[in-house]
Amino acid sequence: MASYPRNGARPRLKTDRGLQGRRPPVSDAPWWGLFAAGGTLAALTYPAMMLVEGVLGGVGVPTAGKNYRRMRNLTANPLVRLFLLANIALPLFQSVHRFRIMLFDLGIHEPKTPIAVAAYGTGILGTLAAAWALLRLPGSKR
Amino acid sequence: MSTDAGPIAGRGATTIEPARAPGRYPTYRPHHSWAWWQRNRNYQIYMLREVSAVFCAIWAFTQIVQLNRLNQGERQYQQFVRTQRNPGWVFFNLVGYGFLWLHAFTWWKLLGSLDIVKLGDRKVSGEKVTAGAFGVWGLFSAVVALVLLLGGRRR
Repeated sequence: MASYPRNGARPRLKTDRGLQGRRPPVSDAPWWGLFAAGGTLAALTYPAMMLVEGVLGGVGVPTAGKNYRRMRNLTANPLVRLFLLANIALPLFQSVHRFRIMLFDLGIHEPKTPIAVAAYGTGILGTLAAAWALLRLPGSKR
Repeated sequence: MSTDAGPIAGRGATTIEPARAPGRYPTYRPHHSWAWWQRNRNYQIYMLREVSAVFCAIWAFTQIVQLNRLNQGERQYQQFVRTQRNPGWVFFNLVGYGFLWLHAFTWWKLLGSLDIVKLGDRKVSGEKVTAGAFGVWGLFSAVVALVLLLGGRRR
């Protein structure tokens, strides 16, 4: 059994140190904010979109997303493009943040920084790709 | 750990050397089995909800691909539509719909327990917040479905 020297010194665990006057880490705060916004938007729109476009449209129901002309007409409106950008970007950030937390839940903590960079980098790249595609869209199809 | 203890601990005893330099502390990390979530039904539903993030990301990327095909012209777009009408994709979307429905259902159910809606000094009860959230979800879903089923047509 280990014995400690009587001078009171003992191994300090990382949890013992506390903040020691430093600011608490806030690096996760923006990602939690995007997670909240994205989760709300995904909960509002994604189930209906996936059911109508993904399932009903897939079995032959004539939905807007399965028709080139109708999609061009719908996406001609700049407000629709703005909505689509938010509807892609925010749920994407919700997904990558939740995926990162899921890795923690499964015991995968390391390597911390590469996991965070891969996750949030995917969100950022996806947002940029969506913005680029929406900016290049032509107008409506007559 | 050192076996050369020094005068205080006594001869032959094993001591732990006190840490002196900042940062070089042993870190205590409790060990949990990776399958802790199999313990009960609530944990299992929690993990299923976490898995819904994968389907959410895939649907977001599908939309990005769809917009890119729209940019490339009608022929490429029709090819995208043919791929989406593949039975494998339809089945995948059906499964994904189940997961996204779980995400939405648990999201709105959780809203009621967050204690966020206050009217002056009074607090709106959790049940009313949850009921309102489900109502808004139903309304949004109906609007989205109508736009996707009827939208984009020119008279």
